[in-house]
Amino acid sequence: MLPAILAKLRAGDERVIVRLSEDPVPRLFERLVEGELDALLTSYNQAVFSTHRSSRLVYEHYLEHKYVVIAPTGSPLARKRVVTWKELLDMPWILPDSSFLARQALEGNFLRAGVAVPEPVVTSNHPATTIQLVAAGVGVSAVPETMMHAEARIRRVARVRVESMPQAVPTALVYRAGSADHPQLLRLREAMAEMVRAA
Amino acid sequence: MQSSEILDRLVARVRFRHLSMLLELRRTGTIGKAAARLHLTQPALSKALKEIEDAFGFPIFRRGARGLAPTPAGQAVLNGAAVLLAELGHLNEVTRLSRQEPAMVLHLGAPRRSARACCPPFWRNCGPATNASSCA
Repeated sequence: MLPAILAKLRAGDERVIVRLSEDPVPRLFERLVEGELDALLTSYNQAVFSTHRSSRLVYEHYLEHKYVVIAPTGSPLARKRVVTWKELLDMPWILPDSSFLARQALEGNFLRAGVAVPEPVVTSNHPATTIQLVAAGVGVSAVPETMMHAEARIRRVARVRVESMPQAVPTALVYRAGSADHPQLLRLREAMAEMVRAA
Repeated sequence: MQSSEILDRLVARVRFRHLSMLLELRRTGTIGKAAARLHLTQPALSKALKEIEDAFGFPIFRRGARGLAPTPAGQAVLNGAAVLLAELGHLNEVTRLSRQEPAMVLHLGAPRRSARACCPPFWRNCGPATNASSCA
């Protein structure tokens, strides 16, 4: 299937040049509404989505990020067959700010297990930084599974086998309704649809 | 009046310069400050604003003691003005990059968390024709 995908993309006449901007979600939405950005790939953030309800934006569900709990390689948690959310409560947590959906999703796991939510010892909004902190032994955290693999391969962090899987965080493609037929957006949606079909 | 007639009227009477003026008026909130930033006299900017509002057929700003505030319909005009000006900038970028070979430019935004977690597979799927750059 992969050769067929590559062949299809190669068949296009035009080069696609991607200008990727990283910003906090509220700022990304402002830039989208003002036409500076063609589209956003972002996790669902109800507060920001509500603010822009009148802006004629299209939200397309794209995929869900699986999160995993990680600990330093030498941590006893990494050696246990199953760890409960209750056991994790008193760990030194490195978490993003409370406005992040990833934090809310993680807290949901604790609440469903009938325990309080942890108070982070360090607040870090960037998963790459968070992984470095965990690798340095500062604490435990939850990060997208896709980001953990490289660090796990070189044995800097270990996955903690929690009693229930952390809640997945959905990601959406967001764009202005008025630009739905722009060629660069059609190309993006086509590539993403192929990726989802292939997954 | 038919919507096509309204569109013809807007095309004939509204210029990109006018859109830029509207955004400056929103940014500064007063005709005086906007005129200074645009290197215009206040009467000239007031006249231009009246022409734009006449072209649309409704007030874009409410005039109050605290300055200018967009009307609900005016807010839609201002959002559209920002998009049209951004599109003009994108058109300029695409034409500059397409002088040797046709190109399309995608301006994609993502929070850092999403960008690092989900963009790599997408870049792979876009194949060798894609050139990624960051303007963060």
